[in-house]
Amino acid sequence: MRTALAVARVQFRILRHDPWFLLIMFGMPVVVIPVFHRVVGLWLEDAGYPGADGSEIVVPGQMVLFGFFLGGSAGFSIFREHGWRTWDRLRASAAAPAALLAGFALPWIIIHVLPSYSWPPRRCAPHNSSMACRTLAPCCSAV
Amino acid sequence: MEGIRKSYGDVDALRGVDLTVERGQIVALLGRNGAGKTTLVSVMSGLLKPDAGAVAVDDINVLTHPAEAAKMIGLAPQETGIYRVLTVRENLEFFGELAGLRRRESRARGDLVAEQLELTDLMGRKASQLSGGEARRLHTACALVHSPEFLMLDEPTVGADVASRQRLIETVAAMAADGAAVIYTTHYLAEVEALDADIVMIHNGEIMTRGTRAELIEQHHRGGLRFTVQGSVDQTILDDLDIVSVQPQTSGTAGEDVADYVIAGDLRMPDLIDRFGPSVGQLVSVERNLPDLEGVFLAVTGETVSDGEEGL
Repeated sequence: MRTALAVARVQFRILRHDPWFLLIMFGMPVVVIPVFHRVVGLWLEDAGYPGADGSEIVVPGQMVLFGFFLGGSAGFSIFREHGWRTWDRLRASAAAPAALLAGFALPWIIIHVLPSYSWPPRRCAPHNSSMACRTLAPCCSAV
Repeated sequence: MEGIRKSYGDVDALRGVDLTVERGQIVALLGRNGAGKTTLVSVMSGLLKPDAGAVAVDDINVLTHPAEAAKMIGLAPQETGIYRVLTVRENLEFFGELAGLRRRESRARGDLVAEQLELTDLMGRKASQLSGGEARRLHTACALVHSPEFLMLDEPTVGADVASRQRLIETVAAMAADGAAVIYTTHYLAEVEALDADIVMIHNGEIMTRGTRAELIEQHHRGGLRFTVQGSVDQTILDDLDIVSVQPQTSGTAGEDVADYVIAGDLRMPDLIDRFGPSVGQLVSVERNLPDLEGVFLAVTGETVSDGEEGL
């Protein structure tokens, strides 16, 4: 666990120097979801679902979409280590492969989960969802 | 390690290598590029699985218990592997934590290693802002930060200046004096002598010989002469000599080709001059071939060095 956190901490530090990734992974859902849920809400009302505000479709949809991005980004982080010639050092270290993978994935999962806290509860799917639900839903989609 | 074999397709990189390094011992691996040095280091560190054989560090099998063995191993691979967006301190701390140290402990050890390798003033600097030699020192420092019991340094001084090399050699020697077992690959023979290392010569994936510098020279030095000729020499003269190496130089003062020859055997200087006969004017210099590791390597491998080839 300690090793995974050390790897995650380094990955966060590396991300800090590459803000475009953060902007896309964190900023895009925050911007896109409020815009799209109104449009989809109107469409749902038209389709005979009165009271629907669109977040029922947009939130899980975006989470799944960005979950795929997350997988790609975590994979890219590992691939980048090859270019930096640090991958062999990681492999030769005492860190278990599972701890290394967890360390690479953790920052991206956090970045993926955070946007789901940026909407008021009534906008989340399902309505009035708990904080645990908000955390678990994107994690599941990421996995 | 015992009976290590490793192939890449049809190429046998290691052909049944047996090697033991005791605590406090420094073993220098010498060999040409492609001899198998890096493959050997990779197998010992658990990065590569051998096709056959066993590797153990203090009775811990590297192949079956890699994590346990890795805690005892410090590896600085041939190519510089550091995080260039992180500071020197962050790099050292991270590699310490990877080796199982707690954060505070890793920081303290990082400070110590940085002092040993003269990185203290650079601790807050990003690795991307370091010179080549400084980056190389950081790369090596990352392997030392957890005080490994078995240290493997693969050409650690490539690109380092004279002062950095000296500092590194002192640090490695100090670690060995503290009881670490060290494997050190290099092409710089002066470093091997400075480390007073046990020398292992590897050629085509096999260990050809092992011993101290003095032992190897005593066993394998072939004596002989070293001479320089200017212009084209009658080939029949050269054919009669036991030529070990030919090294062409840049053109001589008159624009002719100039080459340095090393010959083995008991031929004396006056005899060599006699053999040149009327062509003796082309003989620029003759001297005794003094014992060196390069000569030992050529004697052990039975090879000669000629135009365009490299020695150790």
